[in-house]
Amino acid sequence: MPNRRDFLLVAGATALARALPAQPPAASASSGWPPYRNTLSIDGESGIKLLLEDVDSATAAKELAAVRASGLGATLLQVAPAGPSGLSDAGFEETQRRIAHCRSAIAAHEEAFLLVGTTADLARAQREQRLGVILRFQDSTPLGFDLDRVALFRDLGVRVIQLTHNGRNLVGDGLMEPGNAGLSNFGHAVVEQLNAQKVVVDLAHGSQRTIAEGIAASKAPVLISHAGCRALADLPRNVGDAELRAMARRGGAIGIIFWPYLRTEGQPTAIDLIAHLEHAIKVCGEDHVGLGTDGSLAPVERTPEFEKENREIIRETVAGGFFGNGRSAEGLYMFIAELNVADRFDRLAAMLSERGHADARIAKILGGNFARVMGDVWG
Amino acid sequence: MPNRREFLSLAGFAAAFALPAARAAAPAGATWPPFRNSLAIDGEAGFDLFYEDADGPALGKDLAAARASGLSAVLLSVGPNGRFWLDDAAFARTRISLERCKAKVAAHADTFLLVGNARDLASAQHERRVGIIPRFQGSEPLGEDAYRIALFRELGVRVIQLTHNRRNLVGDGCTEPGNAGLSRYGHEVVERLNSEKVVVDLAHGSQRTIAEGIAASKAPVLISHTGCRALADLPRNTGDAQLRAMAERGGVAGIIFWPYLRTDTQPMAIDVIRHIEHAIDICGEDHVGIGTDGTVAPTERTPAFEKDNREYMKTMVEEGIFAPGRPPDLYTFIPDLNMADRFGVLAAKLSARGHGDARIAKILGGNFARVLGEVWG
Repeated sequence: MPNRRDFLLVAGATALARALPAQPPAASASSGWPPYRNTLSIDGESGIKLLLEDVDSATAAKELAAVRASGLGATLLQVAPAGPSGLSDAGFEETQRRIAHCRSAIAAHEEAFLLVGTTADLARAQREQRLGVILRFQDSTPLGFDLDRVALFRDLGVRVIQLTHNGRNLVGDGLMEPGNAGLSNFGHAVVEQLNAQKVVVDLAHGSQRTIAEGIAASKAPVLISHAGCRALADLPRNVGDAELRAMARRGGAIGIIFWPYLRTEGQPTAIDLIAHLEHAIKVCGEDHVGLGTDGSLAPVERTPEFEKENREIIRETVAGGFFGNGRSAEGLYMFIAELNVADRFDRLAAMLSERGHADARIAKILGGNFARVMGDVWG
Repeated sequence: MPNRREFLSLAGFAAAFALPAARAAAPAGATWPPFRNSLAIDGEAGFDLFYEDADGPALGKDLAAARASGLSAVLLSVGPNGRFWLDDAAFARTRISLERCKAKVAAHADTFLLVGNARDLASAQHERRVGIIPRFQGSEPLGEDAYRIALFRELGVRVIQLTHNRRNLVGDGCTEPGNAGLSRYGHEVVERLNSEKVVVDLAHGSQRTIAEGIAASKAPVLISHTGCRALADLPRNTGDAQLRAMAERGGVAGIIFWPYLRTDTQPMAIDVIRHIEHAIDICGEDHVGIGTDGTVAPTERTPAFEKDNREYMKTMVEEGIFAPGRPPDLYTFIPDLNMADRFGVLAAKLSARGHGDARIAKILGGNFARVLGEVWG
């Protein structure tokens, strides 16, 4: 964070709505990976505005077109207030309101979306060429200090809960905490309850100790839904090899993020993303690596207004220390320029194929691994 | 925790704790002559009358104990004792608890006085009333908003302990395995406590939270009720390094009257004295005080009390507050200081050990008064 969506909401800007292209760019015919249409692909975190807030019909139409063009089988979608505010009564209510909004938007566009509760739903989403939406919390604060809320939120459709956002909560530390605390006693109880209720533990955004202790505490495989590799870019938001290895040994998966975390200087390009994927495969094995873009599913239209707002957001994020000390804000984006298309998974698959990765491996990375972990946990 | 009063009200045992018909008198000859002219402050003590709507004989006994105590002031917890957290209801409860406290003080103005500044402390001593210093045992009532510090200060809170036994958004309590330090928000809270002239209290903190709290605070801090780890290596006690750092910054540690003073059998007055003397060795005599963490009124040890107390101790062991294997007859008071004027009795014992009167006066309350005065300005 600042998570782009929350940041924009807070700033009252509607940049993304304006930034959407008049027409979603079609994937260029030559750049695809032939097996893509028969592959279950899952984004470990992406944003779809119309599921999260009220948007005008033009925006909705553009987003729906992007959803169809994406070819994705499913996406994890964060629906909780992240960071301070989640813990209050207002945060609890806001979380429920957002879930309700999301569910009703899914129902209103059922030709495009399907709420995913089970593995069968994932298969169905792929079969019916709809986008499966997997409700996820980007912070455990909406649980308050009440373990019974895990079951409540599961009933409401939440299937993945990230323990911390960037700061400290009652469970553990986020990556921006200098204290690097591990899980609290309550945190251990939360992990136990998530396991018991078959909700996936997500350790993205955690401090190093919170990630390590979360992996060790969970009896079920965990996700690190969107992150990079520290070995390639030593930033707090990325995950070290030791944690990657421990996560893989327990059957989990990491999704590689499309943010500037992939480098310590300059804007990452697709080759950086591939370098992180390949490093993660080397450390974890190909059964434990996926993708978590953490961007809007619809491609960003790079209008002058967008560029101006982007510069502000990036400047603030750099000032917050998220991208490393002394990082220049120049030219940074929270997406990968060459993959700023709705069917970015297909394009990336083609690039991986060209690098010599086999089709079976590519299918796992595109979504097979995420599907396996979620299936293991959901039962 | 569990706080005895909450434990009892949960268990419905409150009746068993009726005060004795006749208060145990201090043994004759055990007093320290300068006591009546000393400013004595208990770093954590309770009166049931602030927590329950006691009336009739129970109320009378509480008031009598207050007068007999010879105390000039006590730090009184008005919340949250680790029981409730960050929701709106907890915030509301805390405010009600604070208002109830102030109303009770006003209703018994012949016995109590609400302390807001150093002058009030002097008045309390001069007028032989017990000054009440409202305190939080945990920063949870602040929620996620450090600006509430100003609000609570206006409502009368003068000391805020950062954590109780558990983790909160600020830091870790002593029962957390993670031993976290201050969070970013925790640093913000300490900064704002300093600027609002509210005392930072580090009792109940994990070792790192205590150490980082001392380092972060620009003003002297209290560790209002604790023991010395060097004498009893328990999470609730404070290590020499932290005691030294606290003293270097001008703070005070109050020695507790709980079973933390030993790792085996029930502590007695001699154990309190050992901890006081160790703390003086480490910190110097200007940085040691007393925080009993019990009721000012003595406990009548009836058979019913003993039975309930054993149950209570069982819970404390189950919750990991006291280590397993300790005897079933532990008490959260010191049996040979189980009288209202325990500060006078303890002073006599310290005097008999050869401590000078000036030093005893500091330990009894002079040091606490200095820190409170410095912070409140």
